[in-house]
Amino acid sequence: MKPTVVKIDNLVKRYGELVALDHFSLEIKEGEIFGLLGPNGSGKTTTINCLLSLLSYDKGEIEVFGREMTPTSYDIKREIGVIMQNVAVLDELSVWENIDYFCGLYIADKEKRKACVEEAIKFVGLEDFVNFRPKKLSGGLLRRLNIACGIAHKPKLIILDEPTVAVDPQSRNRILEGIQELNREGATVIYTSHYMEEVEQICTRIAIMDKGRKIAEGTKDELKGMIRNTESVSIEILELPDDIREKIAHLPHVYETDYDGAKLTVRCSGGRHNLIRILAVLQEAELGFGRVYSELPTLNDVFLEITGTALRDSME
Amino acid sequence: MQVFKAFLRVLRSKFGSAIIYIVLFFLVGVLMTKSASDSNVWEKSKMKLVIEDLDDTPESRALTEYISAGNTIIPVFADEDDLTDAMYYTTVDYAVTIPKGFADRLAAGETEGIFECRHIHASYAAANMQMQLEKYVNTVAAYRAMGKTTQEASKAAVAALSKEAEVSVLKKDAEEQKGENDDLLTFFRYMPYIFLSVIMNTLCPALIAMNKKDFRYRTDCSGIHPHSYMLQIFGASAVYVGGIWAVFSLVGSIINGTMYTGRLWLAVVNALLFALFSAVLAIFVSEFAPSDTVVGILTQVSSLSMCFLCGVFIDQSLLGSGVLAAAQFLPAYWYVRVINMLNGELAFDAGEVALALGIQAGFVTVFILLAILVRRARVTSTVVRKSMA
Repeated sequence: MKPTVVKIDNLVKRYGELVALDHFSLEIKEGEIFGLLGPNGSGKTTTINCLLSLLSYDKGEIEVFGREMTPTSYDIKREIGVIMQNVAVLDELSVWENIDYFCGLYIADKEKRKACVEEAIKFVGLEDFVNFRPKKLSGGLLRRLNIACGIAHKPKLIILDEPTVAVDPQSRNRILEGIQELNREGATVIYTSHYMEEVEQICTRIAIMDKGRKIAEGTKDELKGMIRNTESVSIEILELPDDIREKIAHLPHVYETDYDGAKLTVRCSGGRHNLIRILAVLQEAELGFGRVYSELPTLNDVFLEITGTALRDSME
Repeated sequence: MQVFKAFLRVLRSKFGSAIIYIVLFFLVGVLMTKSASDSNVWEKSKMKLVIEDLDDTPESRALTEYISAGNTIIPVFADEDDLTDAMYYTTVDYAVTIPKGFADRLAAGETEGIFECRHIHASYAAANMQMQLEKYVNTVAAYRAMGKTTQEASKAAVAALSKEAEVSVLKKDAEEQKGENDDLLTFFRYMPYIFLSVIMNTLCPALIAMNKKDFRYRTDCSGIHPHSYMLQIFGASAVYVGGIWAVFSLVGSIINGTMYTGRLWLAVVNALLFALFSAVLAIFVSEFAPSDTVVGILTQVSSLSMCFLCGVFIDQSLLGSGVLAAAQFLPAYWYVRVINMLNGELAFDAGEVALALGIQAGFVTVFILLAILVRRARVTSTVVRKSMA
């Protein structure tokens, strides 16, 4: 059994009348990439701020590395690396100086620090830009610098708060690969995002948050197993008589149909060959149809089924 | 010391603009100092004279030489009406004709009605010229009475009357150091403007860079104690401001050729306190993270208003009592009072100097405390805002 790195127990945080965290509990084991998924305002960043003791809370307990986390737990803070959504570096310093500054807040020894900075630069692939000022770097390179500043001191726990917002797909993939590599090297990672695809891609365990509460937790398969939907079949069809739709609705494992005049969506719960059975009904009725998709459930479907609102709608 | 070093690096990147300010202020400071010292000496005003010498003797030429010195000589007009017009339009102040037989009349001991003069009635030029001519005639008469010939007496009179006493402005309550250190103290008088402008224009942008929301947030997440962070920022600011103060004090001494001795050290301490005040004001302002434009406006408003109200640009003795009463709530007022006591404009009072220095130290303390209070409020609100986003 791996040791617990972060334990949040029954955390309550209020901003006046607003309950930002409502009896929120969490346990993260060593070596995990733990995803905190939820729409904006769901309490992800409040959780992180409470975890880092940058924010006081009304009730609950937080333990990091088995010790109580308080504002004066500087020894614990030294084991944590934080990478934020916005690039937080000094424009007046070079790439090297910026990484050295943040690394120096954790490591006093000059030689050790130098080695760490060199390693971080190599890790993010900024070897050719060490003397560049941040303003001379492209958006993707800036993100890499941002990550290097957060990981140079080799933290045991890395917290990434939406690090890929407004990042091009190429840089995003590189960042995600980097996170997985850090994890392979032994770091425990907490990854907050509202991009469910990213969370699905890299996280070993996920907690879904909404309105300050944890609404589900588990691996992505466990989460998907919590809902009825196992397959969504979408068919482009311009004409669908009611009796045919009714026939499809009564097929085995089909629990919901939805037709908007151009596209039929059929949601199935379990079973195999659902798509073949649906297409057979349409062919039998001699109805023409266009493109056909079959999708496995996503975390958005999990969120939708649990909260009644799509994750994407909640973010608007 | 990581924050200390990083902050000095950031300051180094802002120093380019500081050099422009420093060079500019040194030039202005030197010019102001020199012009201030020159303004203490009176200069004789020039009159525009027309001299017509009909006698053309050594005696008349000596007189012409005497009254020409220090005045502007206008050529003789051919027409009397032209002379009248010139006097009307004040292109000529006084016209004197040395008549034929002037030397003989002088030898005869005549002193009245020797010259033919035309001038504007009851003018300053008329009275002044009349007095000079009478002085000349009387002096020649006096030398003649001593047994000299008319020619010798004329030369001796010109020599005697050409000697002029240098007139300087005397200051009330003059102290023993008065005069010797006036140039240096004038240089010191303008330092509040220099310090406020240079320090605020360089320290504020550097502090704002260090106080950027996300940058501070990340720093706060690290293991550094907030007090240690603040101490390192204050320390680096103090090193920078101390450097500026030392450079200005040293250069002030060099360009004015004066060594710091005795009470002059009070001017140095006075300047240090004001430099520190400028620094804490910059720290306080930067806590609100204004834009560069706002920093520029705040710098101009604070430096110009403080310097005009408190007697940096205009002597305190020329300011109204209402203005002075309001200025007492600003540190520059107490700074200038110390300078005024050192240069003799005010009677030196050790107790009052200590009070003025103490009040400036008080301003420094108050603004440090305000900066800390604002910082605490901002850190809390920043975390709350980030959490609620």
